[in-house]
Amino acid sequence: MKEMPEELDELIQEKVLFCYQCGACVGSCPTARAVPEYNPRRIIEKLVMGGWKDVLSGSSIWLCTLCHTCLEVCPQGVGLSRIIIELRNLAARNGVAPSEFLRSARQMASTGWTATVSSSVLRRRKQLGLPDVETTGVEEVRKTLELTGLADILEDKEG
Amino acid sequence: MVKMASEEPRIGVYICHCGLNIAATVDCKRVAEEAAKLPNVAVAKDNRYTCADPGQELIKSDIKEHNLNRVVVASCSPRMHETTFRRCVESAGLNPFLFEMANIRELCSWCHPHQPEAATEKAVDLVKMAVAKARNLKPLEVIKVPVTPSALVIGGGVAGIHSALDLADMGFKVYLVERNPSIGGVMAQLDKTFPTLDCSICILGPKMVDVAQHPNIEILSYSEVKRVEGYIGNFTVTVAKKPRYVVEDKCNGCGECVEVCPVEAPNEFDEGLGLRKAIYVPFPQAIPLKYTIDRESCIDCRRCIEACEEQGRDAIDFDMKEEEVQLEVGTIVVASGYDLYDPINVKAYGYGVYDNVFTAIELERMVNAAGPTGGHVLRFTDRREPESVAFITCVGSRDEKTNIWCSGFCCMYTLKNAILLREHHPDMRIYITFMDMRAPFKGYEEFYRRAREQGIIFLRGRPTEIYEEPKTGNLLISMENPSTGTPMDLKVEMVVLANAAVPSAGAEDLARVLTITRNKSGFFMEAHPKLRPIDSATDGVFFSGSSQGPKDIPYSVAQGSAAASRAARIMTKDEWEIEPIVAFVDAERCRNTRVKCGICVSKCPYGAITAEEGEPAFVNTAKCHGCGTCVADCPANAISQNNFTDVQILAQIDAALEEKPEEKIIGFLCNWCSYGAADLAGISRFKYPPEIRVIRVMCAGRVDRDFVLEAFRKGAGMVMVSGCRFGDCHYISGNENAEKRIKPLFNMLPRFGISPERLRLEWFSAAEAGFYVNLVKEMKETLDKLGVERIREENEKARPFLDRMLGDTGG
Repeated sequence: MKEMPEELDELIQEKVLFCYQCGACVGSCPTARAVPEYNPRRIIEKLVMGGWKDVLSGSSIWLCTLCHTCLEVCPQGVGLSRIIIELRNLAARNGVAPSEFLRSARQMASTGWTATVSSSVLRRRKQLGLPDVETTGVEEVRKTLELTGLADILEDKEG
Repeated sequence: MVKMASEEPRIGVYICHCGLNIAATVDCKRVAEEAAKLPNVAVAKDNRYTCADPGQELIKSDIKEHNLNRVVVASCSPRMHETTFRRCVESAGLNPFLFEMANIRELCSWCHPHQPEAATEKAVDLVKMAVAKARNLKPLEVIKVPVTPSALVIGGGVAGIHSALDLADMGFKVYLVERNPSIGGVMAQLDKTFPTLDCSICILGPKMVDVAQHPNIEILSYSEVKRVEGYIGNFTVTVAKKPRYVVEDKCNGCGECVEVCPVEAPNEFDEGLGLRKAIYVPFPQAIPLKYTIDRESCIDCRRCIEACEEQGRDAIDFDMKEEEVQLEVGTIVVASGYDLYDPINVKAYGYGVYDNVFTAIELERMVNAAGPTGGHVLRFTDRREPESVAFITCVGSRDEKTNIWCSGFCCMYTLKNAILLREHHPDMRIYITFMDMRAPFKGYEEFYRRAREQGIIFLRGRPTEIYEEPKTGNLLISMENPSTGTPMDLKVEMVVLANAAVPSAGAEDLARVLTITRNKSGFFMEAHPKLRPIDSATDGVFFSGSSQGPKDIPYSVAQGSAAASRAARIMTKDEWEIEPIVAFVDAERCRNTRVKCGICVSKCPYGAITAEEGEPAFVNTAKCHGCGTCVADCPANAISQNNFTDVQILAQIDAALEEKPEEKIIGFLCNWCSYGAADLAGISRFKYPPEIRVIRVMCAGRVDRDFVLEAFRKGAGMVMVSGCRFGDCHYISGNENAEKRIKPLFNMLPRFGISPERLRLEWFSAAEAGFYVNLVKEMKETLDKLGVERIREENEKARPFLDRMLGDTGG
């Protein structure tokens, strides 16, 4: 990933450059309240200043809860949360998405669940007479992953 | 002696090098040689600078020596030097309208520097087109109209007051119409003014008195302009005087009526924070000092009548009716001001929900010693002075969801209010939140510094939301903490919002009455944003103050005086000259004499045409602005426009398409926007394909459907009709009429066998050079995609249809 992906360049030209750094997004951000290091305004600032590699490979874009409040309060229609979705896609496509997320995705592809159920929990369930945790909707999930192109990315990683 | 044009045309053609601006790309010698071969061209020369003295002298001496009766100059844009050359030929005894220009700089050499061959070919075509038009030029006489030396000023705020005083001092009769009971505007409500902290009413009051006492000024307060008829120099204005139920001539402002009035209502002047009686003057310094009865709250007890009678007067008249007054004026100054945006729409800030959130103007009334709280700033919840206050700027400004513009003066009045609070309360914690601090004029940055010196805290950022602590009435402002970059909740005891300046509620009606335009924001639009910032698009109507865009006091006063001087420029003359590019009716061809037609009447944006039953239509030339919309829409071809006649435009089309027509694009560009954009593309040195041949019309409204069809009949590869964006038309609605007329062609052309993509109908502003460039590129792509062969085939197929449709109008 030496060159800036074209989609990102477009995104910066069409949306990001309108930001005038008022910080309304920060004031409204629930993640920022919980995680002091997380500052959505600075994500935009970095993109403007050419720090796109840091942004794509960093962890901050994965902290957003996609509550879209920043989208609501932005006076310039920058639409930060939508940008974050785009950035995550770009990160995944360019192989810099954090491995934990890919692991979850693979988990979901095979079981339909994003979280694994530990063997101790399974044991306990048995003791309590609860039924096994079943895989669910795997076919549907796989189809979605194929259509969105995530399936390819997951295979690449494995390969 | 003005030479007439009845004799055979003898045209002089001058190709300007413009130093190297043109000559570096275009082979000017060759262009001159080609021009010399054209019929009726008596002499064709190229020279370094045609606009300079030697160039002009050459034209003048050639007119005499070669007995020229038409002149064509191929150089820069006519928007640049048309007037220069018209004057030049006039001084040599030629009618100035026997001059035509070919724009081979902005539209040619500057845009095609890498294609000298094609640029030269294009220049030859442009000259051919100009010569073709010149052959058909007719001498025109400037139209003169009488001027009434009196002015109407609409709006009695600080801008209107200054316009009125200046005009009255110059000796003109002035009618000052104000919709409120008193003149004074927003400035009368203010406590102090920035950056000097002068008491506002102390400096405005004497000006208001000057207005009242000036022998040349007549104030019509509590009145509104209903209708405006006529034209520059000769407007007839109908003003509705609302009934104030007090006879102005009889009221001496003693105020005995107020003492006995039992009804109290919120005082608008105090933003509803204080009370007034049902019979009232808005504030003690009101001009005129005449009482008004608010019949909405009045209970008809009529005690005021008794009180007035006890004073030996019978000024009160409950039977008063709205009255219409007619005024004859030569010019109109629009000083209708602005409104403050209602911050209730910015829900996140809780105005109207949380009691301790105020607007700046409410604070202003509280700080004022004569205001509802006697100069004390009090919280609504507990009537005590707050220990901390936060000012929030850009409320409803610079926001896509509300108003995109900067209201201009909010930063400054926020600084002022903060400083006033600081001076009264040295211990108060005062915050100002801002996105960008805008303090650009004389003494303003210093004022900003003064605020910082006084310990006012500036927080960069836009608050996202305000919450109230229900028990205390204190407010929590959510925003980014600028030092840590983390969210914070700033607790204060009071919030003051700097709400945006927006167009006044009456602006829409007034725009209609005056046939003036507004920009996207809704403020009135000037004739030219840089060089005619005071003039409206309607001749004789000028802007003063915030009606044209938010302005602070010094700027409003300056514009008030500027508007007065622009108006006086007309009224100091007995007669005013109008450019004769107006429309006129051929009475013989007009079908209104036989059937009821009146299409031209309905199309004219200025109401300049009348068509009485059985009579031919008649154009009032003084009201006509020369857009040509009526000309294009006349079903009988009975209307023509001077200097833009059908014959002239068709001649341009033919000349452009003499050779290789399939490879060319005919572009009809309106003088104000699309031609402006094409000029700007040249000035910006944007490069685009050279295939386009431009025909300038005053308005897209002039473009007859037949022009488009004729271009296709003559083999054109593509045709573009373009004008201003909707809402920006310099002739109010010319572009809309053009769209109605041209759009059906997209369905019609395929029936003839012509691909609809060979016609483009486009709207863009004079600033959108990039848009124009992309458009030409796109059109060139379409040309290439279709290819010459296909275009030729299509044209062949369409020709019989076109011949039948165009009949005698074609060449």
